Amino acid sequence: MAQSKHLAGIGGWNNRSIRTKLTIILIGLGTIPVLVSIQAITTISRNRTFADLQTNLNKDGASFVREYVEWSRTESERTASTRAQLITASGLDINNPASKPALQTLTKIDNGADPESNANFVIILNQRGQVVAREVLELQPESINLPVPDQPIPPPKYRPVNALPLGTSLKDLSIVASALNSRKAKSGIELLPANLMQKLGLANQSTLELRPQPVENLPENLRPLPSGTFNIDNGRIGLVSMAVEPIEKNNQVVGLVVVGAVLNRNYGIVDGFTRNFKVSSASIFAQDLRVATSVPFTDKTTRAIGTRVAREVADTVLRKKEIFSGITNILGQNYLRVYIPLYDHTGQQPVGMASAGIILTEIEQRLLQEQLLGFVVGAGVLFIAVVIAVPITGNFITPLERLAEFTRRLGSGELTARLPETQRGDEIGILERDLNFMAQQLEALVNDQQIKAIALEQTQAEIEAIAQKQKQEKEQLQRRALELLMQVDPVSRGDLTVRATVTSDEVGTLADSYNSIIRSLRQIVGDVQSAAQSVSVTAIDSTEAVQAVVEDTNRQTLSLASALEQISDMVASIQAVAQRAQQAEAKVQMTKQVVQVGDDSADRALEGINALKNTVVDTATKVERLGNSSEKITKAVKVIRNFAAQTNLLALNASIEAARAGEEGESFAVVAEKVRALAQQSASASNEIESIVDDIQTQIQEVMTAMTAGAQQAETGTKLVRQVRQILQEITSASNEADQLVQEIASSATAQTTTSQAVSQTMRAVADTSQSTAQRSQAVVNAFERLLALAENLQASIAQFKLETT
Amino acid sequence: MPKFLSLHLQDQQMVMLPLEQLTEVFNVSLTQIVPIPDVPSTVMGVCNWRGEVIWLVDLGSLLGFAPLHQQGFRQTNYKVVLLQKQGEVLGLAVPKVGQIREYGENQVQNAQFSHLHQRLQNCLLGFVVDDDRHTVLAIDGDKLLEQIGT
Repeated sequence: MAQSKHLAGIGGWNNRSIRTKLTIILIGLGTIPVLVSIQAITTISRNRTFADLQTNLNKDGASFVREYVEWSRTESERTASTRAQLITASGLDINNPASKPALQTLTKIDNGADPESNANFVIILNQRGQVVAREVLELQPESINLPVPDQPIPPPKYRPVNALPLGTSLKDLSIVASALNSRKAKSGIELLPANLMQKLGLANQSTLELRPQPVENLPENLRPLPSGTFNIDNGRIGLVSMAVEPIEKNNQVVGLVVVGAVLNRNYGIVDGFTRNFKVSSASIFAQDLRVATSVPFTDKTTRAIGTRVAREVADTVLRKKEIFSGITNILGQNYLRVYIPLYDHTGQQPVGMASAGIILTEIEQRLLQEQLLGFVVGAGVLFIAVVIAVPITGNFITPLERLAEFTRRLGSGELTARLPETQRGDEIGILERDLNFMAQQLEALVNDQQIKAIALEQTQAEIEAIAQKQKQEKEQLQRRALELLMQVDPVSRGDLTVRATVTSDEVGTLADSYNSIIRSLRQIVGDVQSAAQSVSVTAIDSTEAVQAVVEDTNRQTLSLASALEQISDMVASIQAVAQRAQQAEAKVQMTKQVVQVGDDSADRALEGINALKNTVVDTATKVERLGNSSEKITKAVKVIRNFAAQTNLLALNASIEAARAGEEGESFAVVAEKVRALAQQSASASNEIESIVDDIQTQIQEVMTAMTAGAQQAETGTKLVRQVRQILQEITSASNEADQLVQEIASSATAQTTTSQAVSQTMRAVADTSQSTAQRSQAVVNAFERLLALAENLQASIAQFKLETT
Repeated sequence: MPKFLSLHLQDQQMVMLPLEQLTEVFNVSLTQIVPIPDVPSTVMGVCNWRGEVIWLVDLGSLLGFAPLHQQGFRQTNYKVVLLQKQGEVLGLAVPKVGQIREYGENQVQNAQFSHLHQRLQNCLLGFVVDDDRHTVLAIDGDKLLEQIGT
């Protein structure tokens, strides 16, 4: 009982056929384990993927803090330290007004393309914390309101700010006060309230508009903390990477160098990180306020600066000073994120956070794809299970159905029915054989009963037949007389079919004479009637035959018309072919002309190159002769120089002779001196000539080399032109072949046109003939119809006589 | 004004002799000089001059400057300046002959060059600075002949 109740609970399970149940169970056994394991695998893989992503993200977040946010602080430290050492080394007196220009140059800021290395201010203070020299830069408006990047953003642009007058005390900056008191360098990510940012002249860059963020439908831990929990100065708080370095002189602190980079709206840092580390977004927070971020606001275009972080993140990072790592919600969008606390120079309490993260829907999409693949495999398994389960079920169920059908037929009285012989040895086979035996026994029993019932019925029928015969014989005679009168009466109405019944009695003789009169009358009418019928039949047959002729002829005409149309289409296409062939021929002719022109040009080029080659060879010969001539010149010059040397010596001796001659030799000495001068001039002139001739020979060598190269190039040119000519000749022969083919096409197209026109004419004549045949046949049909009408009239008249019994 | 002929010695050293004390200047190649044994190193040998045998001395070496053989006789041709007095003829071999210039008595400045060779000091007339700003020592040929004689 308990079991049946349980089954009833399943619903219509018992009412389903065994075939259905068996199939469902088999499919279930094959499929359910697969689906369960797929679900399990995808769940495990999902968890693992999340764990991996979280680990990677934690590393990336640490890199963001180390290589970008803290980097800007380190960069400030470096700048401050360098400037302080320069001031000490140059021996500048900070308190002397004369050294102001030099100090001003030492505050120069050199910002480049790396946003994490940029600075907003460099300030030199004296030992009382008063400004001695400074440079303050702020982001230009175009760099302040950058949208969410969909392409590489331009490097940030700065412009100088004219604020912070000289002499202003900066002791109200806690880091400055701390450095002055401790006489040590300090650095940190500093939180500066709005009035200090205003004093520095950087309020433009740091002031953010607090924007409403959607908190409805969010649980308490994903909403921001109530406003006022942290001091963010109504969105005007500044977050600055700052470093302060004391300037020392004789072991005394005489001043400070203060360097800082404002992180508010410093999009270069977050965008540089997201681009280089392929992380979808990064943010920097002052307390719980986003001051620089690549996370989009709800409008998808502006950045989500001026919004605040979820309560769970603020509690973990800012209050418990721990790293937050996990899934959280930013402006209604779920992210996998890591948040790391940032500290100021005191290192006591976090002043803000740096964060990196991935949009969760991206990950979910990737996981969903994996799961989908798993279920596709499951579907494949289900299909295989169905393919296997259906034939197995059929093998069991078909014999059972056959048994059920058989017992149903037996029940409805069909006792001759038998199950086919089977070889099955299982329970189904035994059942089939037992049922056959039962049917045989039933059939034998029923047949025995039927035979007994039929014998009883026959005996009753014989008794009834004898009584009926006696009654008929009594009435016979009375009826005969009346019958004869009634039988001959229809003759008066034209009915010739009647017969008087001829009997062996007296009435029979009278009937016999009636009968012979009616018979001869019927003979005459019958002959007329059959003649009229045969006319009518002939007329109908002929009409049908002729009608068939008419229809055939009409069909023939139609076919001819369509054939004619097709032929005329064919003629048109053949003419088109002929026309195209003519156009192609014209193109081929044009090609041949162009190739001819090219061939001529190649000829001319070849002639030109040959002429050039000859010229080069001639020139080379001439240059060689020039070389020989210049060598002759060299020889002549040597001779001249020798003459000059001898002349020089002779003139010298002449001078000596003149000097020895005393007064008388004076005039001669002058002549000798002039001769000597001339000899020396000719010697130096011959030297010059020699060097000129040397130059000429060097140049001749160069010319010879150039000539050889020119001759080789001319040779190469000749070869190339010959190749071009060969190609052109190949083109010509190919064009000739094409021309011949096109001409053949044109002439066959023309021949085809003529032939098709002749065919077309012939067919048109046939069509005309079949048209007139159809008309004539129609006339014959009409004649037959008239004949038929006449035959029908005749038949109607004859039909008044009745010749046969109906 | 007396005329002088300037002579180039080794190491760009220059001297000059009064033109009136000279007889002739001619070319001699090394192959024309016949070396004589057992003579001082300043004497290069003898050569043929118009059928006479004359002595050739290395003027540079004679005056205490670098001798010609120190540069390995790179030159094959030398100039010989002939000095003649009272039948005595001496050939002074030099690498190159310079120019003839006139200098007044007061242009040739006297000076004591204690670092110079004694033979040179004995025949030195003085020095001039020529147009090319070279210091040229003026030598008296007659005194030079006397020195050789002793």
